[in-house]
Amino acid sequence: MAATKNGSPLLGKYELGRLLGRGTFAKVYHARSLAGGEHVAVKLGSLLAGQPERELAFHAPPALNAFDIISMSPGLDLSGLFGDSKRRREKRFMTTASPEQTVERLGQAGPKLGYFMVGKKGVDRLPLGGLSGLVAMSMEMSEVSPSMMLIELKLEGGDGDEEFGWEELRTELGDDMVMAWHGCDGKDVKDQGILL
Amino acid sequence: MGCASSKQVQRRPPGYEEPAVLAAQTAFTVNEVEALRELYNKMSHSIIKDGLIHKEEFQFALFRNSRKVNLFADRVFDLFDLKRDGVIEFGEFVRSLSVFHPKAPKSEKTAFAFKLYDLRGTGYIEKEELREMVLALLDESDLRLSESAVEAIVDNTFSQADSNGDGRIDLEEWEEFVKANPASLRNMSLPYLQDITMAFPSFVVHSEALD
Repeated sequence: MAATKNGSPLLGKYELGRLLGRGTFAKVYHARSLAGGEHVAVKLGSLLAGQPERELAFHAPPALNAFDIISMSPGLDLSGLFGDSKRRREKRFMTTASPEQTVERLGQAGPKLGYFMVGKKGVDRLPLGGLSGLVAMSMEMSEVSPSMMLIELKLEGGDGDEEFGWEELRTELGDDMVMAWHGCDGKDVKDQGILL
Repeated sequence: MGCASSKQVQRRPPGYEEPAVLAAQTAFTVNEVEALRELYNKMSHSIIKDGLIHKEEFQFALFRNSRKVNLFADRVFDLFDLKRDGVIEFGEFVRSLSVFHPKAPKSEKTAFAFKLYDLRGTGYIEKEELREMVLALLDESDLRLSESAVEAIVDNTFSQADSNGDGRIDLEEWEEFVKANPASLRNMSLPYLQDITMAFPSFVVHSEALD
């Protein structure tokens, strides 16, 4: 979760101090930047932070319609023409895990990989320029079939220049959770397709 | 005097149109058209250096791989190639990209998407076409769903969209569907187009165009 167990620096950049407060989905800690020594507030999200399980009772993820599926094709994503592809800031994967399990694992991987989860509504309230060193990530879940969900992850805010470690995230989530990882060119997708 | 030849006219690439004309007829400003010309020049000289965008150059720009075959990129290319002569000229490029400008009217985007998905150009999106596109997407993503899962998705979507139940989606039904599912048009807007003058600064700034 948020606090590192043995006091090692968070993300190699911050020394975490005391808990300043907590919101619905995150805790805010006092921290000191290891680089310049300045005191900052670090907000770390974990969707399970102090909340009972029932808070995560989702509405069933909306079912994907065929056109949603089709529009996932990079052939329809002309932002690639400009080199600034949305694809670097978005990722999709399919999972047979439950919404709760998925959310939990995403939340756990956050502090390690330098992001915190935000709900769609939280996007509007992001501080300008994000939080130093941390990126906000939003998630949308859709139902592909009764046993499989499509998870769409999107990096929000931030300066967009830093490459996000999607591969590390995939490793963190684990092969048991990530059934198929949607790559732009199919290179990083598992060899066996998932047959339902 | 009468023999003075204007070399400039001969150097104009095929399909050249005045930036001002293109700006007047599209969602772009003159400076944006100039910026698009920079992008166009890059694309149209990437493989076949004739100043026209060929299919391989389009594929290369989109996928960084000139040989990548993709049903949807093919459709986009065909729609951009208004004259259907196998290449995208600058005018076609600007006019087609205009549809993707965030400020372009929604009706244009809706119509473009409809034509995109109407694979055989019959004026309707048939169920087989929808199925074909879903299968193409799964195929290019290395994902597999069982036949019954694909059928379920296609059936569900079709029954949602095909309101008069004639087995195909016409433009009007598509417009209704898009109203109910606005995310269907998410690929039809490129916010980047609003900042294009920053990405491709043209060294020629039109004095009359002060945006």
